[in-house]
Amino acid sequence: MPSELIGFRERLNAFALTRPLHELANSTKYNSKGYDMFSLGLSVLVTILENMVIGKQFCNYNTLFGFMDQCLYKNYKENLDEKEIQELVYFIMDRLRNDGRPFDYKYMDLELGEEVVFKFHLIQSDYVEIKAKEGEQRFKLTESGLDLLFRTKEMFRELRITISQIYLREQIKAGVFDNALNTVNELYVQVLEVKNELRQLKSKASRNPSTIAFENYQKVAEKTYQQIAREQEVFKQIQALILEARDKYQFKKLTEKEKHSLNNLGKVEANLMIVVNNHNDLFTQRLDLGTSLEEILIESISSALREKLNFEREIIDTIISENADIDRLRQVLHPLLSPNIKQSFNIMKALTPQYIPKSQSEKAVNSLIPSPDEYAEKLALDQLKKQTKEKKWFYYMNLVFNPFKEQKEFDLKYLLSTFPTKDYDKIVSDPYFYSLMITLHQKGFDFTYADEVVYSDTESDNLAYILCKFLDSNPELKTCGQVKLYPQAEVLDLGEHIGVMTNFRFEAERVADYERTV
Amino acid sequence: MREQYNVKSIDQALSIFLNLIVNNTLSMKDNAELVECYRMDSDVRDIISDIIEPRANITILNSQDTLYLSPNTDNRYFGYTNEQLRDKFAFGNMKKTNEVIYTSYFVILSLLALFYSEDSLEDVGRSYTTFPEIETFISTKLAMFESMESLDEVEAECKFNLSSCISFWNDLEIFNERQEISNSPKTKLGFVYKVCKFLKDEGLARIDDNDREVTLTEKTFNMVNRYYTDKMRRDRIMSILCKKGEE
Repeated sequence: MPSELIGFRERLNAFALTRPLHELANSTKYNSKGYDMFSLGLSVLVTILENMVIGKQFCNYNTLFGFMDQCLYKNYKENLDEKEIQELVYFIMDRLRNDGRPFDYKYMDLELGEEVVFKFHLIQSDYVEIKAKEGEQRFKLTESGLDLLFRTKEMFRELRITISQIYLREQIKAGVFDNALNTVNELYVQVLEVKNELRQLKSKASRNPSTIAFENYQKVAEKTYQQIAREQEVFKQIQALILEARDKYQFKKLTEKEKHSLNNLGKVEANLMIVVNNHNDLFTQRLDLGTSLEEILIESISSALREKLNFEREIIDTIISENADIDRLRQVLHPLLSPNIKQSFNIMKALTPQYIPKSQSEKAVNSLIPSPDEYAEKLALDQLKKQTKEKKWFYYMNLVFNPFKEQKEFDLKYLLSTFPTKDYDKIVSDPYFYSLMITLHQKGFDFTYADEVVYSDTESDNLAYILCKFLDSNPELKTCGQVKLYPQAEVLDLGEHIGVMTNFRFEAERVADYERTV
Repeated sequence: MREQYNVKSIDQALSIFLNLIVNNTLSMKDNAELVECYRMDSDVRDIISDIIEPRANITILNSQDTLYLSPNTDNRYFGYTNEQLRDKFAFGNMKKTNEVIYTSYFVILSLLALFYSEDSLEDVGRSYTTFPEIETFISTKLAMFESMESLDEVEAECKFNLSSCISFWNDLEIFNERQEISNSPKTKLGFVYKVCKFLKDEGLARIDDNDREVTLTEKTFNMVNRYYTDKMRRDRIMSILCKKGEE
């Protein structure tokens, strides 16, 4: 066999990953619009990747609708309505996900002289458990999807983390912290991907052990462990480098550029901590993999006795040909449904002692609980603190949101210039001012909702209620829609005792714009 | 079967069984001690497999870190009654007949068929399907039956079977895109949604936020792969489906 063809399969697999995009480009549905479907498809993949990095909201259909709306407006000056945007996104996603089926690409492996079918998915969806039973869908790139995008950066999958670590080390040494932050974000995605791979390997082995040879499983587990150990060592070195780099900024007056660098270095450090914590989890998963080995061996023996079942041909078509009655269908499906135990009521339950919540029954007997007077005093004090906090928030909302009456966006620097001079120091050193800013940065405020938020004495802050009260007295601000805070590169020096702060940009997505993107 | 078991093992085996009949699944996260008992203690496993499983007519399926309880095909102790299912799937003022249950069963089996086609036990399987696709699949299959069955024979049947399902299905309205799928059970698409919602409540399926896609859960994959692929159980299911001639 000619040596040129070694690894032929891997090369063809890499080409195959781009096929869904080519097929999308060849679709004719949007020919009349003149959209570049290849680019739009790739941009959807990149958007999903972007939303996998630290601190980003996960990507769901609404994220993609918003992205596509902006993208079409920017590139084609098109203002599609909500339904048209949805239709286009569904069209692209269905093609990139092959309607849920794996893509299969059949070709001749010239190295081994056999026909190969390469199967893959580019996108997977997860359901995030938010309430007890409800789940919210989010999209992630699969291993193949990530491969496709990372290949444009010429990185081999096995070495991605190592290569990123090398980049990061060099970037920190050179003091290029903007780029270092991007590298840390990429590292986060890569570490999560390894976690996912390990989880999938385990799940694959448990679902269908015949696809994984026992020796292979052992080899993968061992190799993964060695690599993780090496990577962990490098992470320690990088963290030490960051500390060294930070030391250089200590005890000296910083220029604007240095403040900016220090600010970014702080972000690199914080995000790297998240990456390292996730990476440490890999060790636990690895141990888990090791303990599963015996079970997988047992499982692979018992799986030899299993048979495949084609539900369409063997069940549905048999029901049709036999005109099976309802009892037979019930028997086929019965094993899948829950036991549904019949509940019964014991009439004597009426005489059993009734449950009284702890808060009422134990107050009197527990000596650790304060006396009624102490309790009333504490309650009054808490109430006073709460009222002070709420009054301050109301006052700060007036200050912070007032510029929106004139303009759609402004930055912190401008906002500070509007503060009353005599109160300036008091405001910028007040923790309640910062708690409002942090909430605004993390969650944003929705000025359109909220006509019926009820004040609650038990709620610790009642921020939503204060916002409603504020909007009642400033109804013209309701058109602001979504108000958000975005970080900018510039750092402001707020004085010796307060320190530095990012020059945030305050932005209102006006109701009309907002409705268009939702 | 052994003559004697110690009290501790009986206690643990019963705890596993009771946990499973209440919650249907028992994972390491819920109760690591009991799951470990099942996996490591042969006495506990023997009590379950020799006494509890045959007596209660159930099968306990073991998948890595989770146990599942599955009532056997002819189990009469556990499971939904027809009346309960009629209440779940019927809508409006419709007469609550078994047609609605038969059609729901057919919808569930069609959903499984879309995921478990020829090579679906391979590692890369289907990740989702959509409501319109399930509807089209059912309509195609029922049309196939209509074309091969003579009406006289159908009418001669006294039990509810596929022919009753066809009339129920054909009476369902066509979904109007201006409606909400979750609020239109009288349409074909809305009925499919209603059945999938039941599966969602059973922890067997998931529906996306836009009420467009359906996917199976890890629980379903594990249960299907453990239960239906067992050679003996598979043969039993096939014999149940093909026993028309024997009656």
